[in-house]
Amino acid sequence: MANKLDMLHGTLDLLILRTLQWGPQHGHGIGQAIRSRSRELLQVEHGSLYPALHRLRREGWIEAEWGVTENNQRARFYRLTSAGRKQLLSEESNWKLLVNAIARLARPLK
Amino acid sequence: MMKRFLWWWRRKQEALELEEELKAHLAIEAHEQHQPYANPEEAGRAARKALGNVTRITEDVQDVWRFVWLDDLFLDFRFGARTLRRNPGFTLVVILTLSIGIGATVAVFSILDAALLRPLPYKDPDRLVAIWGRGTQDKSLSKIFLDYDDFESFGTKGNAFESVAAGTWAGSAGSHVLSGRGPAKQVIGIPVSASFFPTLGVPPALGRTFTADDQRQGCAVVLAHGFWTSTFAADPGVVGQSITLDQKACSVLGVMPAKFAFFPSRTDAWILLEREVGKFGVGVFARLKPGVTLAQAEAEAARLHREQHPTGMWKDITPEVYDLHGEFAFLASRTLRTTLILMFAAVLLVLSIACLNVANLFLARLDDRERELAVRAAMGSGRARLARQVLTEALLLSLAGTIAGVVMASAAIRYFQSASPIELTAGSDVTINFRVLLFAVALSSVTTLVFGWLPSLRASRGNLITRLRRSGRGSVANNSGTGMTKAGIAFQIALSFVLLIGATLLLNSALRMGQADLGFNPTKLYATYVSLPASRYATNEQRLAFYERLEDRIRGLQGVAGVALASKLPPDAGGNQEIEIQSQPSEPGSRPHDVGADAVTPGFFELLQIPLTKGRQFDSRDHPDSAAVTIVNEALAAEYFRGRNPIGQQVRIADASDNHTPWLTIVGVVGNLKHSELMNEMRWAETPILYRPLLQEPRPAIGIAFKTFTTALSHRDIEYAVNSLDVEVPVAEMETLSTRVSKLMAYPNFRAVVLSFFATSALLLSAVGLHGVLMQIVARRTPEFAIRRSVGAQANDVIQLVLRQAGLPVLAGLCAGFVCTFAFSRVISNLLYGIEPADLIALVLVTVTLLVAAGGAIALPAIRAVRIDPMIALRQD
Repeated sequence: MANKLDMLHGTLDLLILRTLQWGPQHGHGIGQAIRSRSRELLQVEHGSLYPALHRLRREGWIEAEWGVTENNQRARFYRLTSAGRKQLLSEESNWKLLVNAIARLARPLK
Repeated sequence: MMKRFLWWWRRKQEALELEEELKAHLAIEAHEQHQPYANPEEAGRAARKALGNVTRITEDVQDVWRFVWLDDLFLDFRFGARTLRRNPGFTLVVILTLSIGIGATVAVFSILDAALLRPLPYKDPDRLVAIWGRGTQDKSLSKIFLDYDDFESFGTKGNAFESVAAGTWAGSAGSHVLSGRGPAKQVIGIPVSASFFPTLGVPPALGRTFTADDQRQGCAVVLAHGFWTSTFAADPGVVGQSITLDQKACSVLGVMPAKFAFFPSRTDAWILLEREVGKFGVGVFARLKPGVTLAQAEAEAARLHREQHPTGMWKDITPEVYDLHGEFAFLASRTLRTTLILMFAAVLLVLSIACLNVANLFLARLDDRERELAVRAAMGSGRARLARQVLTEALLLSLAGTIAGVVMASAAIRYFQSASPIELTAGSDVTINFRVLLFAVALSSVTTLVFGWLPSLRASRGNLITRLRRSGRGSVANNSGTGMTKAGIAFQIALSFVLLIGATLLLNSALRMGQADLGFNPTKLYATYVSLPASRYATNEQRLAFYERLEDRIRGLQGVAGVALASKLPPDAGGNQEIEIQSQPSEPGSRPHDVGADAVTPGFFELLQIPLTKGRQFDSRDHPDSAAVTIVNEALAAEYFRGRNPIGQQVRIADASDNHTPWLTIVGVVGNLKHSELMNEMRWAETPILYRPLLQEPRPAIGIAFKTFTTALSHRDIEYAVNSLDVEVPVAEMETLSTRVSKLMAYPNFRAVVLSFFATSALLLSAVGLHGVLMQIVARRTPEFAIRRSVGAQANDVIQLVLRQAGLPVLAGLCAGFVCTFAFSRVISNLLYGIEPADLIALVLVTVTLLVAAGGAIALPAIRAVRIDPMIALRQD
């Protein structure tokens, strides 16, 4: 697999998992949530959202279930599994390490 | 991993769900963002635009799930299967070749597995040993039973053994008569010590086995499962009942499970071993304590034996400890192990030839497909991918070949079981079990690699441009790869040579051994045995009266042309008695014990056509009250009288403790009988034999030989004749003497037949392979030959060109085969009879056969090369 994409994939995965922390959500909702939470800074490509959801499902971190939205629209809802929760924790700490490291490097020299 | 399979399993369903999911996404998007748009259609369009390319998303999602390599593999398989279907001739030849190779190998392996590899069906069989006596000085002496005292001292004083058991099947120890249930019946009841079953660690299926107490309680018996089923109709109630064995009441203690077997494998029952029965020696079997090595056990056994026997004949014998598994093969046949290993080696050679053939066919076909492969490479197929494609086709073929081979093997095994041409180890059951199947799968993987690997390298190699150009046209065909092919031909010829030599030698041995003059003429002679219950035939008079009436009764049967009674009927002959010669005093115990002593009726020598060379036959002068007389054979005369005339000399049979018969006057000398030796099955032995008149030595068991020219006489007639005299006298199944001889020939014949089959297969496969390769070379060089012909080459020149292609590898193969033969012959030298491993006639014969076969294989391609019409061939391109 191409290594260049891994970082991006990882980031999207983390965002999805994080979103699902608050409860089950369908694909569209996840995209919207990420967008609104990042105050529109992060635009999630729908094209990469669905493959990412399936990848997470393959790894067993999320589960899918058909349900109905508040507007009576049938949709597929995704939910965190316990394995997913564990993964979220480890990814978050990794993420923090990364952010800290970058922040330290990016700080102007005194 | 599981999840992926699950997804793959429901891929259709998943695709539908994804479609629906994306549709839902669009609907939600359109619903939420509908404000800025005038109408729903426009909102829908915007939503689709935001989502992007749905097909792309679908494919990306599928990529998340599927195994790329697995899908490619499926494609390869599908493509391969299609390619193979398009070439049914090629496919059929390859599958047939492989199935013969794999089938034969699997069949031989399953026999090898049953007889040599599978652990014995006892508890912790790796700790079980057999302890035989071997000559202390003379290591060439065979393995023999040990003294009964040895068995006791190993058991009581030994520290290396967890338990020690003994059993004997020497002489008539195992032969008993069951009566009281229909006609009396001869049964094989092997005397064993009470420790026998616990040592092997096998519990009975019903009842119990022996305990030490049974030793004092009189006769007790444990039944074998087969005997229980056949004679007692598998009635569980028989346990605890009493049966009549040798006119004595014996209580049935238990029944062993169906799978239990020990040597001899035809045992019907086990009885308790008594010291009196064991005095001729017993087979000692033991279970070693955990962690005790064979060497430690042997050292201890040797020490105990020395303590037990400071003097006497046992002093010259040393106990040696062997792994029981190996001894089972040894007990079944001295040559079982060698035979099976030889068969396996031979069949592997056949398999290698088959693989080489298939590899050659593959290479040839790759040449035909050169263009296809080159185009595929040009279109971007990776080299690994192309190699994999070829390997996949190979795998498909070997899979089909393996399946066909296993089917053939199971047919062969079924035949082997029903015909049972050779006796295997006790309790061995030849089946296609899991291990054999595993072997077949491993075999097929290896064969795939062998015949697919080279061609796959070939497919992926080389410069694309030259390949594309070359495959289009060319006057001189590319010769890359033919070097490999030629080496293959040489190798095949060499292997065939070795196999043919082996088959010729074994066939020759079997023929010579079968045709050897055994000293008697078995034509139209039948044999059976009766044994008299000791209690009712205690005196000589009683037995004589019975034998006299018996002889009359048989002679009176319709179609019987002659009868004789004898204590031993050929090809069973010889023995190990000691004799004493009156004119040459000798110490008891120091004499050789190599004399067979038999009792015969006067007509015996004439009926079997054993020639009288000196003196007279037994006749009416020799009766119970006349002077004791004997007739000896030439071997005895030669060994004990060394050229002096033995007629009139007096001898007597004596044993180590100086029990002896009266002095017997030698009245005649007869020709020798050839019989098989216990330790060397590939030799006829002629040992000293001393015959006495049956009237002077009425043995309790006797063989009946009779001549009949009809085939109407059956076992029932004989049984009826005997039972009309006495119902309690059992009659053994009647056999022709020729059958008895051919039983001795079972192993040599089996080896000869199987190896001949393998050698013939090898020869055919090699010839077909050579033919195929040459055809391919001729086809490839057709334009070249055409040009040569058009510029004036004669038919002879073309034939020479073809011959040069084929002749060199054939000659190289013959030379290599010649060299290998000498190494191989040494391995089989002890399986040969009357022929040297380096037999000139065999070598010449095989060389000529191979040359003729090769000539045949070369002829057709050569003719085709000559027939090439330059005009047509050149225009074609």
